[in-house]
Amino acid sequence: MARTFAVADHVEATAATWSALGCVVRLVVTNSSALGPAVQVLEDNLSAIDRACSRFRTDSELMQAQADTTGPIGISPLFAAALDVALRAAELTDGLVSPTIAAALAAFGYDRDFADLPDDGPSPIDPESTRFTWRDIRLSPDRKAVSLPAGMQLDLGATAKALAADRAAAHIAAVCGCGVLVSLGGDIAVAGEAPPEGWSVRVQDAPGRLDHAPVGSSCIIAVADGGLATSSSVHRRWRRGGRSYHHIIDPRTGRPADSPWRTVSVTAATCVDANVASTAAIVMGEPAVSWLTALGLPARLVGTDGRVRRVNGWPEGDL
Amino acid sequence: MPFVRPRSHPLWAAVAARNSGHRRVTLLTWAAAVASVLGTVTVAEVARAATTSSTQPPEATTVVPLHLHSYYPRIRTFSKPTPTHTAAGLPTPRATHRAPSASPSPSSSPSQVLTPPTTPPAPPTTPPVVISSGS
Repeated sequence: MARTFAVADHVEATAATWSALGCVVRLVVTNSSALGPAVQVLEDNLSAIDRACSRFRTDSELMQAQADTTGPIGISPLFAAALDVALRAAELTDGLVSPTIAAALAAFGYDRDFADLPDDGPSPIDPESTRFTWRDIRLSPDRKAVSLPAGMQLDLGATAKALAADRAAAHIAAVCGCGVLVSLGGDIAVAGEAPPEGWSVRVQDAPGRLDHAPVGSSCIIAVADGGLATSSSVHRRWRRGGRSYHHIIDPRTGRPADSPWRTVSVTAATCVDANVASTAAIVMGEPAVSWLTALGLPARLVGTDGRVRRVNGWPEGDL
Repeated sequence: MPFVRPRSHPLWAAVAARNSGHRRVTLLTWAAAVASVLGTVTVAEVARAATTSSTQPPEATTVVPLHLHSYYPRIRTFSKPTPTHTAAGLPTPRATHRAPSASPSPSSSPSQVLTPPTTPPAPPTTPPVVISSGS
């Protein structure tokens, strides 16, 4: 998780790909001369969000806030923004997307950087899932301090990454003056002047390489602005006690969501909104179709049986 | 922990409004774009204000003017190998890409309200530059 973003692992004329925050980072710009500065801006943004929000490094603000339960602890504007986004996500979804699921994730075995998880382990112990809710997080009105109850463990992973994508894309566009696409583990934010035909994106169940055929259901769309996020229970899985688990926790049960949807993709005005909606849809289950429809967010939902539902103008057609 | 139906939450009115905001805002500067992306705190503040008066109907929230996100997330498909494709292997514009409605009626359904503001351009020819997937 904690690493120095010194060199992009793979650099093309207008794109770079590397690993950070436990996921694949991809940066694409419309002007090749802007790629170098853009990589630097993105690395700086990712380093900052990692220092603020990682639950896998002891020196992060998140871990320090969890360790100090004597009262309000001063926090940086970035950590405050990440908390604010997480609380907003919980508020928007009435707790279906919650930053308080870290204990559940750990109880089911996801207690370290995903790449370091053992192949299997002892059976999980059901966490005290209802011990805390997001309403127990006290962010001061001026966003300069937070209080957490003793024992609360936070996981800002999904919303913090989406926030980082939104911020970095806007920052890069402002600094470099070109169109930019930032993808953090498949959650995408775009900013600046998009290519004439939009940013071409292949949507699929699990990560892969563009030069490899996608596994499972997939489609290709173009996005000109805003954000696109995909949540899926297909890829980030691990085994405990011989059983397979995934990382999308239903806060109501404290267990991995038992959803009829294996993958949900959503576009919205920001990557954060898209991420919140796609994650909530997985947790929500079947009602997600009507929910997303009512929200007006274009979305594509892939069922565990492979059926595909599209709402609000998501283009027809799969690969 | 009490859970109510999320679709009833007034905050989503802000999200939906931002997605349909193109009807309300016609000019978007870079500063506004950056401000809108970085304006999450403002969103939350306004949303919280809306939440504190839970009896207030979503239509009454005043979040729209505070968000200059004028963009509808324009999306389209362009790589479906069906008979609708052109000789070059590119799809013709899909039926889902409807022409914009200049003045939608207030009673329009969400999908109608969110019809993209412009006729989709010609099918793109560029290959995918990125993958969106669960990670």
